[in-house]
Amino acid sequence: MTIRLKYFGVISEITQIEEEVIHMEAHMDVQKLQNLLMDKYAQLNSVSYKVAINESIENENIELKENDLVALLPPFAGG
Amino acid sequence: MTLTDKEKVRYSRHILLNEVGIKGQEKLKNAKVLVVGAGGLGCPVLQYLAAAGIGTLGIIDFDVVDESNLQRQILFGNSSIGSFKAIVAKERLKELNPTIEIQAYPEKLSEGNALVLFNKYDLIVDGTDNFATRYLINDASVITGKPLVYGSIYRFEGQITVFNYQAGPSYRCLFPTPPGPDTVPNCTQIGVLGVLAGIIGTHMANEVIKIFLEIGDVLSGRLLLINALSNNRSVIDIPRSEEQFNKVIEIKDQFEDQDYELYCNQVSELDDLIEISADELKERISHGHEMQYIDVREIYEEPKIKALNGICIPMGEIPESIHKIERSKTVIVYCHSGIRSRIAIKSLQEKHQFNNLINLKGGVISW
Repeated sequence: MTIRLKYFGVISEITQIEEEVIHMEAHMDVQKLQNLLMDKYAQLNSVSYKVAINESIENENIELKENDLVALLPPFAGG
Repeated sequence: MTLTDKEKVRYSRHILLNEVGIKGQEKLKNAKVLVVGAGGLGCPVLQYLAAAGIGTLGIIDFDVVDESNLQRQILFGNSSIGSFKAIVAKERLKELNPTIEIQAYPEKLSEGNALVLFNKYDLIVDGTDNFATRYLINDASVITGKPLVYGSIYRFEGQITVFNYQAGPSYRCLFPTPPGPDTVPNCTQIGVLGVLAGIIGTHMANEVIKIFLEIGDVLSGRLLLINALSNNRSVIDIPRSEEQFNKVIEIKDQFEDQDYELYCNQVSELDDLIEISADELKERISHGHEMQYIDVREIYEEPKIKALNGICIPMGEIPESIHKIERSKTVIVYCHSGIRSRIAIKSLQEKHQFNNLINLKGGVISW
């Protein structure tokens, strides 16, 4: 299935892009997607972030659906 | 309080708007807003709130103006360098609008003064620059029941939302706990586009004004993300978590005993911190200096430094491992990037009177 990804803050610096589309097996959940991304971008391991699915913060490890939009939001505190 | 004739002239462009009118402008006049942090975000927020006629403005900031602030902190000029931001901001805003009340607090917002201060105002604006103060502000806003207008900036990107407004979420519903040490780049090292502070700050001021005027859609339960480079905007929904609210309410009576800096693993500059670079340390080792090495990372963290062969005492185990740390010779404390080890040294110096500890600057990654 196709998953659309959006990266913010320090995460877009690690990935070097702000958006991308990836293809993964069906019935994958958020945790599996995170593992996949950590394999692709090793430095993701050392940052904390929240996951938003289809523009809503998601705290559970839910199953992803075709064409879901997944955003990774790191906290930042600058002012 | 009703408007004077002079105020009706001053705010005539507001009053002409059907959505504001005399009634709306009076609501602004009766509003009391506390702005925490008179920096990059605080300056534009204060400027527009003062101009808009918010009747009572509080400004709390313990810092003084530095030359490097002037690139984005637009209430200050060259002659402000070295003066308290809260005081300079008050003077500047008095000149901008003499009809409003402005209270300057040139002090640090703390566990000890937050609740008393927040209770004097209707709404809080968070324009601070660190996680410890942001969690402190969130919790104090929840406890005192005040809406919180939040903004945060990083390089070319900003976030804006309104927390704790009516039945909306709080900061902890978005980020329940602070990020771990070493996981967020230090603000003073990353830089920020000056005008971004203005873009985000004016969005914050807009939310404050809408809340008091009771018009439009308040950004409650939605996080607005703005990228100044791409002009992309995203809005992310933030669900409210009762659990996060309850956690804060539970500490209500012990609020003054909390230590948010420790909670956020944040240390202020240490005057008596001695640091050594990886090169200097290698040099010392080559001269046969005998030292003890303490690795405060978790046991699983890699890579280990063979040349040091440090004793592994993770942060959480330091209190029961004090006896393992030498007092009679130099001890090098290290971690991944040099941040946790600083915190460890601060704690050991203050609580256990160590005076022989040296921090490995830049940590293992600099080795």
